[in-house]
Amino acid sequence: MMSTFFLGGWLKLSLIYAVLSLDQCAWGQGLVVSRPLVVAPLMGWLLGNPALGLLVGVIAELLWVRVIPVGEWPMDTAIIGGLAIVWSLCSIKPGLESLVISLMLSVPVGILSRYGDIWVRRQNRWFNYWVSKNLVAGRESILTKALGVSLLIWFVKNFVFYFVMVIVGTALVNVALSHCPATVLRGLKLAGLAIPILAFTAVLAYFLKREKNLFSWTIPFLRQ
Amino acid sequence: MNNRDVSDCGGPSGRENRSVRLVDLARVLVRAFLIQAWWNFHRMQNVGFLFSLWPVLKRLYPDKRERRDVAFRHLEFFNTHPCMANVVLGVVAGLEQEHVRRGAVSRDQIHSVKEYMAGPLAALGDTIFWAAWRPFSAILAVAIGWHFVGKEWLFIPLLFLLIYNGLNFFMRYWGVFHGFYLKVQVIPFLVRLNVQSVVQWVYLLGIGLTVGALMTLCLRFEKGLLWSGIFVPVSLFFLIFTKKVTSSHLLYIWVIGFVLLSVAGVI
Repeated sequence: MMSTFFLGGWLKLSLIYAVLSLDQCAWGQGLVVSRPLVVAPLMGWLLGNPALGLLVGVIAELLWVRVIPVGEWPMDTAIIGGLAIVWSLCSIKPGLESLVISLMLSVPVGILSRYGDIWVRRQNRWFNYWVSKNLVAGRESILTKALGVSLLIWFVKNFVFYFVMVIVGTALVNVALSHCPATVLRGLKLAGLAIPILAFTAVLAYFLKREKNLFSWTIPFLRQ
Repeated sequence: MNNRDVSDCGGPSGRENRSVRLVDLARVLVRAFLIQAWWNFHRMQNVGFLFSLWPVLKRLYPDKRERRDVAFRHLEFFNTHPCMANVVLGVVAGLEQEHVRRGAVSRDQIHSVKEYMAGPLAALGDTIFWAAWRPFSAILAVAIGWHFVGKEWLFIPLLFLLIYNGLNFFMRYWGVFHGFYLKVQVIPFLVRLNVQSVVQWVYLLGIGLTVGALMTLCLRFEKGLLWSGIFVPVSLFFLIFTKKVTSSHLLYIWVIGFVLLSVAGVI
């Protein structure tokens, strides 16, 4: 797995992530290619461990099922899945222990990423003025130009952020792994086995909270 | 229609032959995927809406000056669910054609329809796509793909994309083309679909699939049913009955708990 540590490999992963993540901010927003269930298995597959990638993808997709990309949504779950798998597989000891540390570290990064999105969207207000000004002047090609600029801004933002976080996070995970005693690592491994159960529990809680008729269907006398 | 509306109507002679072609609607359909690209806190999807509608405006308003005025008006505030935006685009395209050809619809009416449709469609889109169909597609893909894991690792993500986008693409197509032909009649049509009832069934199916998957996982858990028996109900309690405890909190609590128990030699 050490062979995947090279800079070129991380650049390639960052490029793929930057393209996929455009789905949630620029094109599509609904094709779901930027969801963790897609991003993490793909990253895992590229790094040679699709099984762990799928596990991260399922965990991140289901655990944060309540996080709906509406309004000021609290965190970017795609980057959580996309980073957790890369940090875990590029660590000195790839496996469940590194996966749990990576997941815990990637949550604050997911929140930080959202602040970056909000900042870009604040800057997007200039497109209003730019497009309006040029349309009045009769320059209709401005719409296509504005599209190119917007996509470029989102792409660069996602690429740089992901690339920097891959480098910083891998180092942090390695430091944490090298300083953990065996009993802690054992606890982390057990937690790694339990987290998928927590993820499915989160989905069950989500559906139960939203299903309004369940109790009236299952307990007939309540229908009266 | 009041006097001001009549004076505002289009439809002078020579414009009756202008009509939107299928290829224009297809272009709107493709361009609508980019509706979020310029999303901003000031006017939200306004530039994206204009960009998506551009092929229709270009067809209906060959005069550049006239098109500029119409386009400028479409730069007003607009925000809805990105998938349901196609319904508004279809309806507005249909109304623009009516405005140009017969003058039966005023410009103010077009913008009122656009404004009043955006909010309810956003709520509908959030409920159908984000709240129900996305988690259901994920859980269904995981449940079906479970048997293929080990043979084809990318099967679950591909299945997830296929299930989610099946409805997504259908709705986007339906929105543009049927919105264009039905115009404002698309609203009673959507009401008759009784989406809320369908969504409740989706949640119920989701519960069934999740319970099955959860039971399988608990039985396979290394520490046995005893730990799962504590773990699952406690997590469910916090997630259902408390608002401040989120999945992220539980992730940290359980990991720290397992590490502490391991250090203490309990597990």
